[in-house]
Amino acid sequence: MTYQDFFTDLIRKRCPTLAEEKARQYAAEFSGIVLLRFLDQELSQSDEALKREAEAELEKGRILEAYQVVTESLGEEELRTRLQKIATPLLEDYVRSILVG
Amino acid sequence: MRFEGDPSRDHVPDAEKYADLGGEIERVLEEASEAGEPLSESELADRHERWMQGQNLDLGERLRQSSEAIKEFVVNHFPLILGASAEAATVVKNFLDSNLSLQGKIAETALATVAIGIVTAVAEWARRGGYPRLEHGKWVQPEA
Repeated sequence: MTYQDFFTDLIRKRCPTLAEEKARQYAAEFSGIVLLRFLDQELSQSDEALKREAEAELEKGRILEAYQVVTESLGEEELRTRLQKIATPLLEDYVRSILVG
Repeated sequence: MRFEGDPSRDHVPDAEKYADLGGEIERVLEEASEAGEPLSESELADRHERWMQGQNLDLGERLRQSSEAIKEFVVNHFPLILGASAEAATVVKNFLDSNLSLQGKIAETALATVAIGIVTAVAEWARRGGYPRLEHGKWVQPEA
């Protein structure tokens, strides 16, 4: 199960009538927020050029391309480790305030 | 910021590796499953939108605010900038420090545009015999 599959299933558990495509769109938007938060909180001033490049992709709605920019720069393992610190509390907040709350 | 991502694809590269977000996943999944009546699509949409807005990471809004800030800055500090005093340098530096780090490349582009505008204006004002002064909130053109 991929990250997006997981998120999509989670949303549809609480809203079974929601079309899968719409749920995947919400998942994509959540992924964008995770990356934006990552860029704001995890990258230092020395990563400013990377941050700008990724933000420019996000601004165009190119979420996958933004992730790829960061992945190519930091490497998969480092990104994965640092991304989880951001994604897990955000996911908890999303579930609590939207799906449960 | 509205992410118009393609819902037909995963937006995280090598997403299998990101699927395990830690031990909290099972717990939150359980809570979601046990959370009573299903949500309507409209209620879910409202909640999702509010959550997105609440993240305060709306890049488009930040850039809009940056443009407004640049405009305000130029309007309020034109005479100071043109005076090229040490005080002016400090004001400019503080402004750049507080905005460029947050707003990034587009703000730089906007500032470059402003800088070009200032140079052009100075050249024009030199041709006219001086630059306008701000008096009681209004620009006063030099007498010809």
